[in-house]
Amino acid sequence: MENEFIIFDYLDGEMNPEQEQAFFNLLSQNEELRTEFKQQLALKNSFVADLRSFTPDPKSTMGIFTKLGISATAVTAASNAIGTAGGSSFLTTLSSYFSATVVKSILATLAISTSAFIALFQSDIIDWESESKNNKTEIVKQNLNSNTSNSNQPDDYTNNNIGNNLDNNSNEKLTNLSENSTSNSINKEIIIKYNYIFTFDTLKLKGDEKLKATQFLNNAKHIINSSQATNNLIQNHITTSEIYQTKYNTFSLSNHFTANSIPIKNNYYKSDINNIHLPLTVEIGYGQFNNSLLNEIDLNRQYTNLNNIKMNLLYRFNNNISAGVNFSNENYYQNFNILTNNGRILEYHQKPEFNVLSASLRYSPTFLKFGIKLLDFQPIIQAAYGSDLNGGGFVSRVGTGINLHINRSAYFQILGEYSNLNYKQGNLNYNSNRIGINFGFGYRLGE
Amino acid sequence: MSEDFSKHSDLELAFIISEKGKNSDNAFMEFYRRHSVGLNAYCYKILNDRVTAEDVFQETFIKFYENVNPKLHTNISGFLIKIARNICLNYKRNKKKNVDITEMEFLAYNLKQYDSQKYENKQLMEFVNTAVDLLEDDYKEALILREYNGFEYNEIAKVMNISEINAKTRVCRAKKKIKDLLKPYLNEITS
Repeated sequence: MENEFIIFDYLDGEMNPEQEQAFFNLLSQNEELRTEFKQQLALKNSFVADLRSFTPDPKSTMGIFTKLGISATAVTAASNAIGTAGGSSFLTTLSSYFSATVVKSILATLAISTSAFIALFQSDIIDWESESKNNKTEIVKQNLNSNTSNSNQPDDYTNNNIGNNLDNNSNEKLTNLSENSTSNSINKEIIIKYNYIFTFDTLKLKGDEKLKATQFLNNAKHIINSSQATNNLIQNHITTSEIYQTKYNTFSLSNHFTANSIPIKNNYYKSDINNIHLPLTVEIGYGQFNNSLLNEIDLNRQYTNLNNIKMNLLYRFNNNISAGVNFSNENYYQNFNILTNNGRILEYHQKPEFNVLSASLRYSPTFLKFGIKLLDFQPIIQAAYGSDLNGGGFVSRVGTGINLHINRSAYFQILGEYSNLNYKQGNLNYNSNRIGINFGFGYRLGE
Repeated sequence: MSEDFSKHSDLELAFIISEKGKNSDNAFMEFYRRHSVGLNAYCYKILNDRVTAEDVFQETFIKFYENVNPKLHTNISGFLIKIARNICLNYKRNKKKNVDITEMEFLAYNLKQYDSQKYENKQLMEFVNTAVDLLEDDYKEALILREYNGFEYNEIAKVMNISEINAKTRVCRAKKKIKDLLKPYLNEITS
């Protein structure tokens, strides 16, 4: 029995050099001990060999990371690192799995983005842009002026497609909207001020853990030293005596440190914004819509465009699902011709404006999240339904796009969207079906 | 370029993970790389059921990611095992303990057959596996923490809420019991 404990001590590495020498001497003289040692060694080796068989299933690993909403990039990068070090095969498998996922995500994203850009830049929107900026007001005036002799509104007109007549009030409403045209430019400046708080001050470790804490802090200093800005900070504010400061058998640092020039990427610093723990997301965006999917209402329009300024406030239920409210200001530019009963063609240019408040729901599938270098790409799908605040009609929107994260909180957004406005003109219901693209910026509070 | 976390200690990684910042994902990946195999072995050995062990394994890492607080838990790998241990105990509480006599007979039979066959290391592993499963829970857990998770005796003591001496005794007795169970085979390979 005593022999066994000697061998255990040796295999556990708990012998000092002198004890080891004594053990080797004993081993050379004692046949029984040698046999015992061989058996213990065989057992020890079998434990080591057995452990290798417990490499987790890649599906389990993926399940964990998906549930936690961790990007595939982190897994792939780490897997590659293990692979080069001759590590376990599961990480290689995992890496290939995620590579496939990333490739699929990239292809899907490229397809969506390319379609959106082609729709945007190869359509009439470019022409419309130049025309609307330079000539829109003039065109409206010219057309209104050209009709002064016959009044601004048609007495009567025939629908080219379905042949319905609209009453004069409807025409008046349409025309009056043209005088409410507003500028669609955005001139806003957002200034965010960060206050960084050094977090070690709350570190409290007890008695025998002081040594580990000290070791950790020394290592932490080494990590922080990699940043020049923080290096200066540490040198200026932390001294060895402060690190070893003890109080009531606890280990603590009482100093608070602030700095305004430290990059937010440093994990040892927190912004005040991040101290808001409510998981809210705020977004502001600008979009342009064009290309009516259907021949809109019953008027023969040349084209219809829409400018859209939007603000989103979303509550994140988890990493995947969020819901909230969306306010959007939508300015249509409409150009259409009407054939009157007396054979005249009237050309209309007008710009109705809608202020829409919607409820929105967003799904951000974290398993599709991928990263390229320092940027993370999060695909999103969202839907919204709301109403014009002035009773103009109801708006439904569905869209898909990408959030491009510059860090965990801030991101740029590109979103392809289908918009349907259901509104009443006179006694008739109309549906405006458009596709468009939104560009925005968002910030996740409470991260 | 992403930061290399391989040189960070577990405690440092835990700090980064708990911050839930940009690097927390990579830090967690490194922590996972270090401890996933050991934890998987622990779950499987304690529960002896691969499907349940896989569930516990996943649940443990998720709970760890969500709850790790290095200001409260300085022994990070111990904290991880404690999460797994609690989940395993819950699972086991709901499952009636069943002493598998056939397993013991199977081991004895295989060991008897050994004389006439050439066994490789794989067979030893299988015998050891079976022998570990036959240990009493307390001995088994101490042995797994020592041999599969690489814990020091004081760490085992903290996880199992026993004294350090007791932890060492349990590990030694567990090894001795395994050795006794496998005596015919071990005698053969060392002769």
